[in-house]
Amino acid sequence: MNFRQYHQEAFNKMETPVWNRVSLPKGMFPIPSYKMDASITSDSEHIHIMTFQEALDTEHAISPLEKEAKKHLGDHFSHFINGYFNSGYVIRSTSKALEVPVVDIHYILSGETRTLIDNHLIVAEPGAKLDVIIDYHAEPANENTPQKAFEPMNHYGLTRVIAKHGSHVRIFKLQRLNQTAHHFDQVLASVEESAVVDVFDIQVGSQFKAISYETDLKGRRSEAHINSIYFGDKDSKSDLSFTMNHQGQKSNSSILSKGALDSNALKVFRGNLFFETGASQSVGKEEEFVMLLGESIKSDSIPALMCSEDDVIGEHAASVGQVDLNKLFYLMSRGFSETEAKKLIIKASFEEILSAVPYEAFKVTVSEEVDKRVY
Amino acid sequence: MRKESGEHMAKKTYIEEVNRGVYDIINKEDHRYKADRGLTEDIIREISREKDEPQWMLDYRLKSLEIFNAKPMPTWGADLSELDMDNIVHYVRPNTDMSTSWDDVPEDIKQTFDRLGIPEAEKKSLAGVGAQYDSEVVYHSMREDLKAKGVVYTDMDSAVKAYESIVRKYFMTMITNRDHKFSALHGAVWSGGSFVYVPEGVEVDFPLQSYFRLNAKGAGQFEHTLIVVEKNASLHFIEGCSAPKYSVQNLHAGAVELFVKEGAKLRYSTIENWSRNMYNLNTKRCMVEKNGKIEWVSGSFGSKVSMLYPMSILKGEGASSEFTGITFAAKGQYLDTGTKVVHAAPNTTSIVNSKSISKDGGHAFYRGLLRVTPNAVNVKSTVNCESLMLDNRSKSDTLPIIEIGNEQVDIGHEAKIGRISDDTIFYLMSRGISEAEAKAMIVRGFVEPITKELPLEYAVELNNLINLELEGTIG
Amino acid sequence: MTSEIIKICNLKSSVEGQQILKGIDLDIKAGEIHVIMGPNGAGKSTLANVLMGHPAHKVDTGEVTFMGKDLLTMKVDERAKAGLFLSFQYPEEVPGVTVENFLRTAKKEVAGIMPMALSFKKELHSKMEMLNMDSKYLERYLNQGFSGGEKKKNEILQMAVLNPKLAILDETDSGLDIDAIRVVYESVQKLSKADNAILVITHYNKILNYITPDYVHVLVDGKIVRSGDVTLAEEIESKGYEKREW
Repeated sequence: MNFRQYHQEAFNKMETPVWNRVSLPKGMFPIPSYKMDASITSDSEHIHIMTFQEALDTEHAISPLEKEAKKHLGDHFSHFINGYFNSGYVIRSTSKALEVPVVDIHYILSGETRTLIDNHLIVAEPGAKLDVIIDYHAEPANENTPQKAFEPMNHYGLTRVIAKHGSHVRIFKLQRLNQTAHHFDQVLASVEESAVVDVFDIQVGSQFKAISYETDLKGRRSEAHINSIYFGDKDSKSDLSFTMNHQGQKSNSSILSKGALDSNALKVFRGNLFFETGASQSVGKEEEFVMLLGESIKSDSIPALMCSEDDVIGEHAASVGQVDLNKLFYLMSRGFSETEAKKLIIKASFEEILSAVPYEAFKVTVSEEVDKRVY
Repeated sequence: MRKESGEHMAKKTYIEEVNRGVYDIINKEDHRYKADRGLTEDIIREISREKDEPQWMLDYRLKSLEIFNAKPMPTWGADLSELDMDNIVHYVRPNTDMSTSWDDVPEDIKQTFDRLGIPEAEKKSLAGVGAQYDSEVVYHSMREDLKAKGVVYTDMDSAVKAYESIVRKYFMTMITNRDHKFSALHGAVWSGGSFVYVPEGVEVDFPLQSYFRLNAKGAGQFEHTLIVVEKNASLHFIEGCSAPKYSVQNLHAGAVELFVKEGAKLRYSTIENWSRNMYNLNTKRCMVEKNGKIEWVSGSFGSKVSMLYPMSILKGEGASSEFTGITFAAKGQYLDTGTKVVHAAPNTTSIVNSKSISKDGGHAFYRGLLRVTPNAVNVKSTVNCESLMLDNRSKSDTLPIIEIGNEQVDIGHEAKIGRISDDTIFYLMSRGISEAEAKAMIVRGFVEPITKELPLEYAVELNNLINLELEGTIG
Repeated sequence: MTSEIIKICNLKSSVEGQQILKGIDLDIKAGEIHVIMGPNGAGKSTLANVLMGHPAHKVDTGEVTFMGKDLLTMKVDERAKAGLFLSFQYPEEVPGVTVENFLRTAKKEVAGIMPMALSFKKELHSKMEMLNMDSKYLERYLNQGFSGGEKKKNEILQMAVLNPKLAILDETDSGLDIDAIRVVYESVQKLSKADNAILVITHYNKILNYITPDYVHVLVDGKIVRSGDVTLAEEIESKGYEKREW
């Protein structure tokens, strides 16, 4: 039985999942009959790319360990994606050049190709550097768009990141699907000794989004930083989960989340910091900021600090509130409309994270998407 | 544990177990009536008959028993698999009747409370005292001037008869027998506890105190505390709990229902020092009306397993709650504590300050809930959780859940976990303070926000409880 | 007065296997004020921490005699009791412990007897007045929420109370405004007596406006490369530390 068959069988045996805090939408797990290609570019000869399917079909191209995906959004999702993926890449970097190599992956979902199931593996070999940009984008609807285009678009994603000894990986994810889309994305990272994984996760689109990052800080002095930005559209539902497992000594992690919620939006934020025995002199911090823009919102925060090692520093902070009225008043007294002023305040709050992104075009896209969605 | 060479500070802090001293002294069991082990309808009927209760109370007990039998054991939080409900004696009547004079209390029971300093505290700083021994209250007294103002402070069993209409109006309306398995058990076998009624506008200037002592082996204590503080009245109520240690499990499943009316204020302080074989599965709730205020001060030191989350329901506009809690989990203890606050009206405010210490394999778990309902606009709340770990055999977890149902809120939360910083110890030692004293000073400073909220006698008791002995070799 | 306070011979120390102090020799006698200057990372603060006995610093070799006793075998609190004092560059915050309670405990340990409550309080008030400190600080938790200047004044207050034989001031001027620097150093100058000594660690040359050292030492890369009198400090101000012949 091959990899796909194994997971298809496991998937088909499972009961439909039920979530407590955010009820799952109808029409889950559509099985696409087509493959989807991304526009993928790379600027370095030290980057090796093949599709995930090619890697499975080629001997020794992918190790059993690298295929592994532990439970995340739930076994359901892992089995579904591994069994039915219609896209995905294996990207390996051996580049130690001063100039960080960039792999740019761009997916466009359309009326015809509504369902994307992508399965990725990103590996930085010892000492290597790598930046990966993944952009999920929906083709705008027009009068020629077939009727079924108004059914929701679906994205189910699984990304494994392996940062070997002393390597440095940065992942930039942008999700800007349309307001009816369903987006499920899980990212599993394994960080070895002295390696660093930086994540910039930007969620501005879709009606339903559930994302889950789980990072194992395995090695001594391993580091992982997650920077999350989200915008909860009117009537949207979001379930965002970030987990850091500190295993190595002197490991260091941070989770910083900045979000804004519009009317009727529902959001659940889960931030988990685990310190296992032996992870001495480790530091883990999580911070969550939520700006409430509209009425009838629902915002749940479930931060957890789970600690079995005393010689650590673990911290969590959250702050939830409305847009600062004084700021709003100040900007409006200078001629900004209320909407413009709100946009400015939201973007200023996101800027703390975006200022660390070195890709100008990426930042401009985020800014434009926010402009489009706040009204 | 791995330690690299050349690394310093490997020597861990060791803090000796709290010396429980007087708390562990066991009295010979001398009781008039002790129910059989386990729980049957006959036992319930027997308890009710012993107490000569009205029919409605017996009916409630029997209904609760039915629910108890139907409900499954909770599977979240603590591991309750070792708790054998069939081996718990649910009712033990000590061989005495309730007394209003200390002299009339039997000698061995009196000695127990003497050793715990209860009568001493009454003389010095209390407006009234109640003492419960096993399932029944053995002593009750209150200052005459408060009686004259209409303040009622009596044991719950007497109140069922003497103040039947008030009891019937409030009893198990906030904590019902349908809430969870142990509230159902409580409804079936409750016995003893305190009833306090403070009439409109009366400010009780000194605290009232109840002390609960569970002496019988393998028994359960299920006291019910019902306090009603009427409009613009105020009260400070203190409860203390302890039990000697036996090798079999004891169970505490009390219920505390507090009603704070418009503009009223209640401070409810608890110093819980059950023995380390106790399952402390207590339920406490408070309903606060318009502009009323509840202040919880809660110290959890004893018991083998605790699951305790005092809840404030801010029902009236402008109501507020403040929770100050400390949990100290040592060897063999799993203390799952926290607080729940429900903001159910506009302009309500809450403050939560929680501290925990875990050491010597102890496991402290902060579990909290802050909920803002959709109609509760202009809510302000801050939640602070700080955990101190004294070694890496211990565990400390923090899970503060925040659920916000409308946009007009201002909510802040902070949590921190860590150990005593070596740099802080170095700083104090550089001023001539020994390592042991430096650590004790830091731990005392850590719990200071709690001790300063307690009356002096209790602060001293708490400091004795944290009678820390430290050794180590930094420097 | 020529009685010896401290004698440091060939002191070498390391942190996590990396050597920082590479052989320090220094003698300080009663009544003297010494200043150690040097660029960032030279090991100035390390010297202060090694002398006080910070657990992160490992002494590789060398001898230190303090008041006639072997300093390096003493625990941190024993060093304090023997009369050594370090004014920290970054004083620790200790929540829940009031300044007054802390000072009384420290005084009791160092002096060996519990100070009389009333006279001790009086002493505190007069010393705080000298430092231009509000007496309400006594009720505050030790260093918690203090500004940089308040923390440093609090350090000097502790020095004044504990009356040490040797006070090491580690970058006490950093992060302070001119007024605070003046108050702090004038107080230190007042605390300098015939039977004690002061070692000032700084990279701030202007302190010479407030305090008169007997000796100035230049510490570069873990070694004292030059010693002299006040004129050396002036020379450094004009030429910097990067002179090759050092």
